[in-house]
Amino acid sequence: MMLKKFIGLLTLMIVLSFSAVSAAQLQPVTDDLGLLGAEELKSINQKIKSMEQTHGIKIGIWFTKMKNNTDMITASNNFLDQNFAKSKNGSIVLIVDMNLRKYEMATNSLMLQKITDTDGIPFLKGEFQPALHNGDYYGAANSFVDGVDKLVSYYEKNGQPYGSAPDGIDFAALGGAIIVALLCGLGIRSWLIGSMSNIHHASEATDYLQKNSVNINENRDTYLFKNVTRTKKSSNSSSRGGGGSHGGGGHGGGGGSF
Amino acid sequence: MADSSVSYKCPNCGAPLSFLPGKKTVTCEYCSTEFEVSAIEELFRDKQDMAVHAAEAQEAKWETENAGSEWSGDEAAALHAFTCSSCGAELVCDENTMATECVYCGNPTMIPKRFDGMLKPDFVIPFKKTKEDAVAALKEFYKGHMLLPSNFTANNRVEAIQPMYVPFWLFDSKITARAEFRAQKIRKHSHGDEIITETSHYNCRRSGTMSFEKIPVDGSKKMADDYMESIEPFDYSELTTFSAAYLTGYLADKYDVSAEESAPRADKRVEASAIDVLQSTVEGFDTCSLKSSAIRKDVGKVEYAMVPVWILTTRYDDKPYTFMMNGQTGKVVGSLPYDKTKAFLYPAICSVILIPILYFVILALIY
Repeated sequence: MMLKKFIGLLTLMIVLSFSAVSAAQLQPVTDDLGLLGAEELKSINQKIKSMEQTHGIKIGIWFTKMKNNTDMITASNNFLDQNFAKSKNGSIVLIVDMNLRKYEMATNSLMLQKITDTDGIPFLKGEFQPALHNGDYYGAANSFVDGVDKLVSYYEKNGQPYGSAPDGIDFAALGGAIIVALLCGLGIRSWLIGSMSNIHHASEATDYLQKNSVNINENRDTYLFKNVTRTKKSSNSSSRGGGGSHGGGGHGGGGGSF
Repeated sequence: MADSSVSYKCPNCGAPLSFLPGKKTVTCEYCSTEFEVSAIEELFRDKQDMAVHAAEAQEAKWETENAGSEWSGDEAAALHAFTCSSCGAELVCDENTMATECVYCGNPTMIPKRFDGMLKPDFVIPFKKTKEDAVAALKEFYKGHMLLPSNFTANNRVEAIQPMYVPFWLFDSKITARAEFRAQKIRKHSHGDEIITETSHYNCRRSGTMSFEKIPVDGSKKMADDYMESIEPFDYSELTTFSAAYLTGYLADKYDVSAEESAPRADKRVEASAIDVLQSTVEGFDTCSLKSSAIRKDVGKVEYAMVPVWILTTRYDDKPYTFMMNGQTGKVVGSLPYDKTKAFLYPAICSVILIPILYFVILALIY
């Protein structure tokens, strides 16, 4: 009996210690495709770990090839929840799918307070997407990490996420409001003064047209030419709202193509 | 000396006759006898002929006497004297007056010389609205104007109210209209990370025939064109064959702008409406604009009608304000004075209320 209990306890300890080792072994940056050199990988991992210490956050980056029908939102949420969920001040991950050349970011609820879907995620896209597009994957990873550092630092300094309205009066907005209000006032004045008179010239004789007398005897449309213009779509086409709508579970995030 | 004017007097009691608004007969307001319009016309036809001859005689005499007098030739040509058949007073009116009332005895007076030949109207729309209707309609017109000075309505008295038959030309036209329009079909679709906009351009030719009936254009220089166009429309179902009897008790002018001079105003309106009709047949496009047009008049007919108008004059800050009311439909038109303080204050209050609202709207859009 005692032996059975001992074996069970031993098994549990082995399983727990193995799990801890597995988790500890997952580095912030996972490069399944060998896109980064060994030195680059080491350097970026050190940078992220240092930042994790400073801000009390977790950052994960995964370069991989997904299957064609993979849901990137679910994949990024799972990647975060399974590997980077335990953080003091929030977690964020970036998955780069080299198969479809798409990327997806996910944040947990704590990080969502610091990096919003409406402003923070588009800011990060602007930081790393050009490097990703140019095939500079180390540069893209660095830019992503630097961007997260900037946004979290902004939150720590201002007490509110990047993109939210500042405290106090925004004089630019106030100036704009005054100008628009004055223009509205002038419009109202002009309308009020105009309403004091109902004198006007009659420009048409439609009241005197005999409706049944109209007979259209030529009705010809000739095609002349065609113009074609092309405009780039907005890059944040897959962003999902102000926050917390990234596949549920309190996640935030957004993605795009490169 | 024979009378140069004719007073329509009641054959029963001798009192002045008036055509009362809304009635189809001429009524004596004193003995309440009613007369058919045709009966009154026949009764006074001889008197009118006499008055015409008398007026011609007076005009000839007046012109010779006019030489060397204090009036200039132009002034004398514009002024004409006649005698009131009721009290004998000598009255002066301008060359276009067809009917008026004696300023001394108030007798409604006609000047038949002015009805002669081609000047006689084809139709008349009889007055339906009374003086009381006109005053009430004007008071109603004042309502709802936020900038109206407070003391305008408080101290307001209508200085003069005159019912007047205004000469109008009624243009009928059958036209052939041709027009070319430039139209566009716009199609947008996505391809990859691009939005592709394809704009197809078309030339659309349209032509057709249509008819316009009785487009009114006033034939009086005295009446402002914009006022006369603003009192439209008229109900032509009440258009009646002209009889001078309808003019009794009202002022009336003959035309002093000929049909030929008035025609361009009607043509312009016909052209605009014809193009609208053709443009309305250009369907299935996203945009459409006129490229060129040509309107040809196939048939053009003009009729001459007398149209009822109430003219109301009031005064504010020593400045006269004239309002006009369609004597048939009661539509009032005019320009009211406005209070400059209110014109500044009300928009300023709106602006002040809008500033915080707009401020937060802008913040919401930015952040």
